[in-house]
Amino acid sequence: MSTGEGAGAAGTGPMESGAAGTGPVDTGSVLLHATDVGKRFGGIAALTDVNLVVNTHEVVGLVGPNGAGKTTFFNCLLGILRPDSGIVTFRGIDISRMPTHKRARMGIGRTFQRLELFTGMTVREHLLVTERSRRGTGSLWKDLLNQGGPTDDEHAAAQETIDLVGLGAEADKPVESLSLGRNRIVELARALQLRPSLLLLDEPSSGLDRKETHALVDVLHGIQQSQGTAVLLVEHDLEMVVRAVSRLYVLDLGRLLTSGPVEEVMADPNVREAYLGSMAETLSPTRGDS
Amino acid sequence: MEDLLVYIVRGFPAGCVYGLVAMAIVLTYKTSGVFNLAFGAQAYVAAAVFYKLGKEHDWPIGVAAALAVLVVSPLLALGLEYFIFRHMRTQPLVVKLVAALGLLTALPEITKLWFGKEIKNLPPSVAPSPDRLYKITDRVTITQDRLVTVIASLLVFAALTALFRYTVLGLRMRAITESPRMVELAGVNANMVSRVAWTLSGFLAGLAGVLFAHTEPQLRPDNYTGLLIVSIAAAAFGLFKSIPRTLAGGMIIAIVGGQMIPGWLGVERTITSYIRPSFPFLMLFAILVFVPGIRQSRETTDPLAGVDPPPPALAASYRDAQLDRLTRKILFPAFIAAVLYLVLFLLPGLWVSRVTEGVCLAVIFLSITVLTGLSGQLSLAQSVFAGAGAFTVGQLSERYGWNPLIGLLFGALIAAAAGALVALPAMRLGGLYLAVATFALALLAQNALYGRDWVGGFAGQVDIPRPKAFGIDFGEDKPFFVLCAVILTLLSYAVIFVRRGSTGRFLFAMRGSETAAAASAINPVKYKLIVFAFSSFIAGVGGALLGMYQGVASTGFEGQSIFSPFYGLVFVVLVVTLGVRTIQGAIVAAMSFVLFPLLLEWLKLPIEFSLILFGFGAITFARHPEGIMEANTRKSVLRAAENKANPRLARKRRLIAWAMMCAIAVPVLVRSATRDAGATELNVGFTVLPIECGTAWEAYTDFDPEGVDAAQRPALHSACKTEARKHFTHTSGIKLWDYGGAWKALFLFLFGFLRFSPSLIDGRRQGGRPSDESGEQVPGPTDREEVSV
Repeated sequence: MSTGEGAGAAGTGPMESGAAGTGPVDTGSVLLHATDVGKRFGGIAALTDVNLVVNTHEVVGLVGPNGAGKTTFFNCLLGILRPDSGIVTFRGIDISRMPTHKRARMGIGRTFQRLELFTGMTVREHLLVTERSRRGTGSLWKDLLNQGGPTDDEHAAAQETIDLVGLGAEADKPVESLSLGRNRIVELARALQLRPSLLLLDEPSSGLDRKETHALVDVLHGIQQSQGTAVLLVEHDLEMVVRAVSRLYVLDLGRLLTSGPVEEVMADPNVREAYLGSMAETLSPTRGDS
Repeated sequence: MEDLLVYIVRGFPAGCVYGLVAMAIVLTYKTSGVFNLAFGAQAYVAAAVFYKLGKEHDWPIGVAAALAVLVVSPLLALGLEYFIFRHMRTQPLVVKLVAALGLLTALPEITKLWFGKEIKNLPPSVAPSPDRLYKITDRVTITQDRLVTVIASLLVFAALTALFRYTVLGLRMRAITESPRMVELAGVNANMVSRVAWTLSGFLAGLAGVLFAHTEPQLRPDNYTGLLIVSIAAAAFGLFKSIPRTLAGGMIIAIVGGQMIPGWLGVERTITSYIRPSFPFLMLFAILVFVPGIRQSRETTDPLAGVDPPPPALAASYRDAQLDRLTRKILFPAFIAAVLYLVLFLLPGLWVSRVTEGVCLAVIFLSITVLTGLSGQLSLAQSVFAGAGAFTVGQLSERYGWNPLIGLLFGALIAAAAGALVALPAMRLGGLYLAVATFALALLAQNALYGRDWVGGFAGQVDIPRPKAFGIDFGEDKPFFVLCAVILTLLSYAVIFVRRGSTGRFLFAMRGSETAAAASAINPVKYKLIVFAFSSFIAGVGGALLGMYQGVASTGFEGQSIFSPFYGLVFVVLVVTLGVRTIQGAIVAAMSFVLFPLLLEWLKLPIEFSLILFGFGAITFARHPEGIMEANTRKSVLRAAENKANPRLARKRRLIAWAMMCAIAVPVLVRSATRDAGATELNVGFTVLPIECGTAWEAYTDFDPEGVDAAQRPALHSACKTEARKHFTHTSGIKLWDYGGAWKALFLFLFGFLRFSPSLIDGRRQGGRPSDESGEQVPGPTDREEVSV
């Protein structure tokens, strides 16, 4: 990318290079750290003291039965919901009080379980808008002077993302005309357009058939390899989780049940009882790295 | 202690009436998702029937009341449901709201055609001897009329509560709120349930209308609009769902706001006269903004809403390249040139003046295009922002002698600041609640600010001079028209540029999904602030221009002023009905608002027809929520595409189109050639031609028109008109419409050409969509191939 201003004014941290990186560098440093995050809705405790760490360039899974609080946790991470307690740091900066758009500009991209698209826009327009907001160069004054249209630079950046995720054929179609599976890719592309150092993916495979899921995993792998983006993946499709992640967190009823490397977690009897049930037995924890 | 009892007894009946209307609102809102602002009008219709039969036809009061409440009002509600709102159940809230607003303005006017236009004094009461007093304590008494109100209302409350709590029907009504389609999947006939709810709400509205009638000295529709807004505050207190809380809300407004606070402050004091009428609006606004329960209801959406097809793209984007070029490069400039030529060189003074007024209004309407068209928000306070602009110019030039053009800029900035202030609740509210909150603010502004000397002037009006600048005196009509047209053009381009630029695109993204927009690094708060401020700025400019045009801005407490909140409603209905996403929509809306009365005059129809037609426009809108203009464009674009596919059809259509164009143009031409043109065309009447006619009147009669005996008036009037025409022709050197027939024919022909142009194109070239900037061709999307092949 030609521009260097990946993150906005708020905290262009030391990890700047991670955003436009060229392949895996060190996987040691902590990227996202959630400490004792809690959230209540009225009388219901949706989240209780959840702790979670994502390191740079790492793919981490977050699983749990429906209603375990996974999406709520995502919303807390991105500031769409304000947690009642706990601290979230990103690249060492406390972002607990930061509004959503600033967190996004710092480099957290996200997809949604229920599609949240900009209805009426084409795929390319989605990316152009996101590119503009990432750069933070839009202003009313420029618009008034008819200088607000997409620049060549932005077109190039959008095209790059389109090529990356393979949406070339659909790039100029309105998103309403695309299938659910393709729209999930559009959401992914939009999140990637932020040049994130962390991607939060909320059940990206729900509603997809097996083939589409495989394609999605391939795209994710490609991105992780080429850009070194860390991923936090919420997913019900255990096969996909096993294929994609290195570490796993299990959430149940708003509490963290356990966490650790995939094999250990899958073997944990508590986890089997709470969530995996008989499924785990049929699904042997063999990690396919392809 | 006894004071308290006095307040309660005095306020209780009014509270009951507020509660009744509020329940009607809640009932239909909950069962059909329609926030029916037309209830004010429905209550008025019931009251009018009651008045007409009970007082003018001397029916027994009980029978008249029963007919109004039990038959007319429920049937009316049922009719509205059947013909209008049934089709809108799955439409966006804004669509339903606008349709209801259209009815709110149209229904009273339709009623008046039968009911009569004259003032209706002293409406009757349902009670047999309404003024008979009943003693509660030694000092506290209640009239029979009020007692009847209280008893009837309480019975209805009890029955409704029982219905919702204990019956299957009540359960179904509650279920339908969440998702009508889900309920249908569960085997319930949602249409039926919705109809029952509407009938019931009609009964409630009718009851409230009849009970309320006696409490006011006159029976006027605007009393009922006021009743409606106050009742919305009560409904908001019940969070738009709880019936007991709704009733309590009504009581609080009537007892605390209507009796206690004025009692404590002192009824005679000025501050009371501000606070008393403002109380319900303050309460409404505070509830909307600060009560979390209301805000959360924004989140509840129909779980099956996903099955609706998405709104289609603007028709212009389907347009084939040839038609597009023709429209952009030839037809549009030709049309503008024709209009300019007509206004500057041909039209008589009156028409120039009305067109200028239309241009000023178009600027105000442009603010609605920005706010509603770009961001999807609905503000009902645009007329008040326009007022901010107008009053500022007036005050600055009157008090400090500022040049009105600088004053205009200043006024627009003040309006923008006010808009940004309104945007603060918009951060938390959306859709319906924002619309209601802005209306509350508008009414608040009218009640609390317009009356101040430093806003609305001493006598309720501020003089606004027209500017002199660049060596031009804009006091003359034509230079002023040019000034307004230039400003309109500049602002239109500003709006187009903003729509294309980051702001417009971000707002469009936020419309699609605000959450996703924020997650894509767009700051929703900032852009909501920007769009509100920008829109109010434009409204302020428009208001200032309109003020200059009128020479005066009045506060118009009886709803007469164009800057009163009522017109804020009319504006939104008009613009949204005609097309809120395009600039043309705003301009056509403004022109029709101004020229329609003239056209009606020409057709010799009563002036009320214009408001009625606006109401019916709202009904058409039910079928074309994208706006009538947009629907027409779409139709014509589709037609062009069909023509391309089918040359035979195209030939047939071409023939018909030419025939139609000739059919409208030729008779006018012939008529104008075969008779004395000027003789009948000046039928605009004494009231519309004040300057020219007034001078002629003086020349002709030399005495006060009011002094003329009524029987002689028509004769004098027509003599005056003839005289006025002569006088005007004499002084201006222009013969009024002398060769107007020919021009009208040409104009109609041009209009016909615009209308039928798609049928005239056989376009053999391959279609495509020109991209915005470079004009290069990009192939149309495949899913639209059925359109473009």
